[in-house]
Amino acid sequence: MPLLSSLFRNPNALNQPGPRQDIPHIAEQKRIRYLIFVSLLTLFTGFVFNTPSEILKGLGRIMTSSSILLTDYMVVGNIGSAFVNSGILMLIAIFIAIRNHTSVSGPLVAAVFTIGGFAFFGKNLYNIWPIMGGVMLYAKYQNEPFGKFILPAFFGTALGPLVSQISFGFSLPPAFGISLGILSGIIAGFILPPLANHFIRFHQGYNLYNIGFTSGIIGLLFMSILRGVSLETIPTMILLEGHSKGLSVYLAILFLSMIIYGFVNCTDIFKGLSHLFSHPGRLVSDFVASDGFPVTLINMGLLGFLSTAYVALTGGTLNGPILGGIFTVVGFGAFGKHVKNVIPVMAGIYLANLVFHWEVSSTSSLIAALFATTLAPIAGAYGIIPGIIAGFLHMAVVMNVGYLHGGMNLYNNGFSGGFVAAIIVPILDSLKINSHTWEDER
Amino acid sequence: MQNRFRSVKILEEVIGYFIHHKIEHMDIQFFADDEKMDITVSGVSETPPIDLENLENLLNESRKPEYEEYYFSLLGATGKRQELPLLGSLVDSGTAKFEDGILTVHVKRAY
Repeated sequence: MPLLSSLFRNPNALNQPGPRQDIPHIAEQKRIRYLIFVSLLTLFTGFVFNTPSEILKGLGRIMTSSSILLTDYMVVGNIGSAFVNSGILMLIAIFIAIRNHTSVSGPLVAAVFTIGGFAFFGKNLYNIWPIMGGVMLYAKYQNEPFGKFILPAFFGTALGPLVSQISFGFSLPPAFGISLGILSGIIAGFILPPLANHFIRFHQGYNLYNIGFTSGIIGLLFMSILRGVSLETIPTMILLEGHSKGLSVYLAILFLSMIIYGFVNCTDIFKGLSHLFSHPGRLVSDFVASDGFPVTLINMGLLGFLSTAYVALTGGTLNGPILGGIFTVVGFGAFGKHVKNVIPVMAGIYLANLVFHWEVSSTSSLIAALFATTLAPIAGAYGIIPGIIAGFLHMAVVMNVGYLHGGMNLYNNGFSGGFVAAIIVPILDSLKINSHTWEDER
Repeated sequence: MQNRFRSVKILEEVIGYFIHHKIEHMDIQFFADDEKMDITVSGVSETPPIDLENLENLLNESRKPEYEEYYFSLLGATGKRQELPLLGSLVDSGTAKFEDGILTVHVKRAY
C-alpha cells in the first residue's frame, strides 16, 4: 500500500537515514563566506531602494520603535533601512559564531536566516543585545563557554519587542523606560536557556521553532506582570504595500544563488535531494551534517521559490513580515524543513482559510502559512494527512495565542506550533496508524 | 553531578536502540564521573540491525557543543523514538558491532 503509507506513517518504525558517506566536503571557510555573501547581498540591496542618508534616518526610527507584532520596518524606517538592518544583524550573528568557534551547521544557518528575516519586522540593533547579554550572563553563571548557548541566544532575540516596547512603547520617562527595557531583556535572556531545554520535551521536537514556544511562555509571564500594573500593548498592523516586484527580484537572486552554488558543488544532485527528503525533519535534523552544504543549499533555494510562489499564487503582497517568513522557511531548509514535509502543512493552512473567516491573501494568513511549517516534522514523520491536519489546526490556534504575550514574542507561530504539536503527537502515537515508512518504499 | 545525569540520558538512548530492535536482555557496563563517561551495552540478536552501519557513522560524527545546553533533554527514554543523530553529536566516539550473534554498542565522551 505505497500510496496509503505515504499518507500516514509511523515514526516509531522510522529508521534514521543517517549521514551520507559520499557528500561533497565544503570547507568551513567557504560556508562562512557564503553566509557573508547573503548578508552583504541583503545589506547592499538596501542601497538600491534608498539613499545612505534616508537609510540612516530609517535605522534610527527602527531602533526606537516598539517593534511588537506586526511592525513592518519597511514602513517604520524605509525599505532600504530594513534591508540594511537585516544585513547587519546577520553579519553580527556570523561574527559572534566565528568568535565562539561555532561551526556552520544546520542550526546555525537556520539561526542566521531567522535573525535576518525577523530584522525586517521586530529585531534591530538595539533590542537584540539585552537578550543575548542575558544568555551570556547565564553562561557565566554556569561557568560554561557562551558557544554552548549560542543557539538560544540567537533564536532568543525573538523577545526583542519586549525590550523595545518597555523602552519606547509605554511612554515611560526615557531613562527609566530604556533602563527597564534593557533589564527586562537581560532577565528574559537569563531564564531562556533552561526553559528552552525544558520545554523541548513538551512537543518532543516536532515544533522546529522551540525557542518560539519558550519565548511565548516568557512573553506571557512578562505581559501578565505588565498588565498587572496597567500597561497594555496596542494591537499593531503596520504593513508595506505595493513593492512586490522590487522585493521579488532580490528574492529570486538570493534563491538562484543557492541553487547555482549547490549545482556547482554537487555531483549527484538528485540522489542527494532524495536522501535529504527522506528525513522526517524532527529536531535535531542537521542537513548540513547529514547531506552536505551544497544539497542543503539547493533545498533552501527550492523552499524559497515554493514559499514565494505560495504568496504570489494566493494573491498576497511582499512586505517585511512576509520576507521574514520566507527567510525563516529558507533558513530551516538546513535544519528540518524540505519541500516534501512543508507542502502538507501549507495545504492545511490553505484549507483552513477556505473554512475559517480569515482571508487567504491577508498578511496574517500568509505569515501563518509560512511559519506553520514549524510543524513540517509532523508531515515528515507521520505522513501527508497528519501534516495537513497539523496545518489546519495551527491556523486556528495561532490566531488565538498572540494576546497571551501581547505581541512581545516575534515567533508567535512557534508558540502556537508548540501547543499544536503537543496535542497532535500523542494522539497520532496512540493511533499507531501505519507501520510503513517512507524509507521502506525507497 | 549534572554530567553524571547526562551520562544516564546517553545510556537510556543506547538502551533505546536495543529495545527498538527487540533485544530484551542486555549486559551493561557503565562508568561515569564528572570528567568522562564510558558505556558499553551488549545483547543477543539473531541478525544484525539494518541500520548498524548508520549508527556507527552517527556515533563518530563530530561533537557539537552548541547542542549541549539546548537539546540534551531530547535524549533518553521517551520510549517512542530514537535520537541517534543527536546522540552522535553529544558523544566523542563510538562503535557498533555485531559478532557471533552479539550486538555491542560502545560510546564514550569527556565532559
